[in-house]
Amino acid sequence: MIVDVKAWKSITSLQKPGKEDILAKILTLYLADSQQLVDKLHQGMDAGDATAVNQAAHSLKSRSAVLGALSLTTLCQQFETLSRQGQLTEAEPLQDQLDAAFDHASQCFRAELNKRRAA
Amino acid sequence: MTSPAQPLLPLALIVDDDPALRALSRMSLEQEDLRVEEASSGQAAIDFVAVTMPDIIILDLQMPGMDGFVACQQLRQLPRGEFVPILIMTGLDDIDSIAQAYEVGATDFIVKPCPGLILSQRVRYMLRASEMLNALRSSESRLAQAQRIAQLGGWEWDLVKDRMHVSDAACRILGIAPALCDHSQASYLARVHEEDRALVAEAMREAVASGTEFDLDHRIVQNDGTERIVHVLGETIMDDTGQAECMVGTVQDVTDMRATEAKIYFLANYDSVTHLPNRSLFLHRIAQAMTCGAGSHVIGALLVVGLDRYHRLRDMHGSRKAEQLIKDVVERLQHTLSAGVTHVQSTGAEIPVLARLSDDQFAILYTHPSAPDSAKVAHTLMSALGTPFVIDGTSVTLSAHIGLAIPGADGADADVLLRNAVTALQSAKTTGQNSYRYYSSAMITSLAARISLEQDLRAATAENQFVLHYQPQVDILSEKVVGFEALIRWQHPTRGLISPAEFIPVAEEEDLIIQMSEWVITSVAQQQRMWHKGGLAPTAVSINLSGLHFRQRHIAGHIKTLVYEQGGILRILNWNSRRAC
Repeated sequence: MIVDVKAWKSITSLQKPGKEDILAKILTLYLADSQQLVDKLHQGMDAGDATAVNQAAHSLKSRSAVLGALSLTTLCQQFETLSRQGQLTEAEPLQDQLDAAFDHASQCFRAELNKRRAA
Repeated sequence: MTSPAQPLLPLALIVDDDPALRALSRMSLEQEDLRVEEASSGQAAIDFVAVTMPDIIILDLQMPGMDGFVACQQLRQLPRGEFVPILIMTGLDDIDSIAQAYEVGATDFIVKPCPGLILSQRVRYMLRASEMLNALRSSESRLAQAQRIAQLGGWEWDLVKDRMHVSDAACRILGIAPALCDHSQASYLARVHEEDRALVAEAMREAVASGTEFDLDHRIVQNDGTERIVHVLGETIMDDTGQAECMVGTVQDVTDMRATEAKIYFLANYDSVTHLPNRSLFLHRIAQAMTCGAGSHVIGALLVVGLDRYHRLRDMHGSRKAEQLIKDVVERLQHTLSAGVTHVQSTGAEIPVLARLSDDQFAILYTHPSAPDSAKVAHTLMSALGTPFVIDGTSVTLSAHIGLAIPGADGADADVLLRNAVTALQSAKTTGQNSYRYYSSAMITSLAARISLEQDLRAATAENQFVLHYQPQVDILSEKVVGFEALIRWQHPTRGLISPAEFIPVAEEEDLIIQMSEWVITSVAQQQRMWHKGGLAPTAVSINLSGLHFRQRHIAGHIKTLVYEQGGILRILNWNSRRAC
């Protein structure tokens, strides 16, 4: 499980002194509704709805990539590709991995957020 | 005082369904001093842009509902949406869709996730490019506007590929629909008037061959058959090796300009009533003829025809009738001159130049060696004018005089020759109606004497140098004086008494006679009153009046007034009409 913290640098580089903490804002936005995207993906898998899976995977991939959640991004990419090709069955074994990667990334982000709020 | 408004910061619209990514992009762009607005879907973006056109749009491709492709296509359809820069954001795995994005009108793309600094720098670059394009477009539109007003268009002929690019403005001037222009030199030449085509093609060919420029007017024929005149200019451009590479030029519709120039030329050189050459052009023609004939034998003649009493006819009948009379005169002159040519056509004579020098003077120049005998021409012209003309339904007889001068002998240049012919005319006028005279140097002397008499007479009228002599009229039977005849005499300050025989014709010619006669009437009336006061019985006094007097309206009433004003006695005032001479 990899979260590349170096990716945060491109975000923190935009930070202006005395202004709202940018990374904290992005992390908050991520944590606010990313779980919903994961849920939508699973629901789509259960219902055999390739479009739903594709859209959820794409959205989760984009925001995860920005925050350096590399493993999660890779998994989302796989879901996106397979769903586009209509091969949902092939994607089924990846569902647990996705949950694990998401939990790991979320924990990682939440820890950073707490650290920043405490500071 | 109000401070000047701050220039508005450029406005960027971020279109993305993911709030986290929108926030990130916003922060990145706000770093670059941009104003940022967000839209969470393609439809929201279109709704926003329909009201406010941003300076740049950052558009995510994959969104639920309307995707980026459809949004991009629709944004381009909006008013002014054609030129706004649209930056597409897409994942690395979406490379295939990049081509599709360009097809629907994307300006550029950027791969996400994209570090904030890269996005902001890309946006900054695109804004600068867009600003330059906008400036270029507005400059182009100003140029097009100016060209449209000047009816000017540009063209460029690639000599290597033999392709001719004709600008839309030039197409319009040539009457080609810009879309139908096949951009070849042939399509240009096809528009050129058939008779000018070879000339234009040759001018272009020669300019290319010599690496120079060309500059000419030619006619074009538009689709609907309309003929226009264009001024075309071309310059040959050489490559590094000195080979002609291309030719650039302009084409301008000068139809109206040329028409105006032609009108100005006509007004400056022709008489507007008769359309004959005026004095200025005639002098030029004489000079030309004399230059051509220099060294060889210029046998010809210059005739100046002067109509008598034209101004009086004009005053009586009005300008319009007088103009018609002049046109009739010209018709007769032309008919006579061309008849003379038919007669000698076998000798190759040209029709002589006929010009109108002034209201009542015409001039004819014969330059050809085989010109007919000028005295014969003068005779024929005068007899042609001798047949009565018709004004207002009444017949009018015109008399004329002609002065002649011979090129070379009577003047070495146009001015002198014409002046001498006019002198001959004035001399002819002193020798009775319908006469002609050749110029001789002696005329200058007699003309000078006549001019000085004229001037003295004017002064005499103003300074009252006239005296009246009263000649008694005696009844032979009763041997009583029954009246007097008032006779005018001129007491010239240096020449003494001058006979009326000398000055009355001049006074009539110069329109001084009426004024003179009125002085006579007034003076006689005053004299009568003095005699009456002195106790003399009322006496009849006869006075002589010019025939010209009786052409005036209300002559009787006018004379009555003059007499009564001075206390004269009308019933015993006789008048005799003097023959006008």
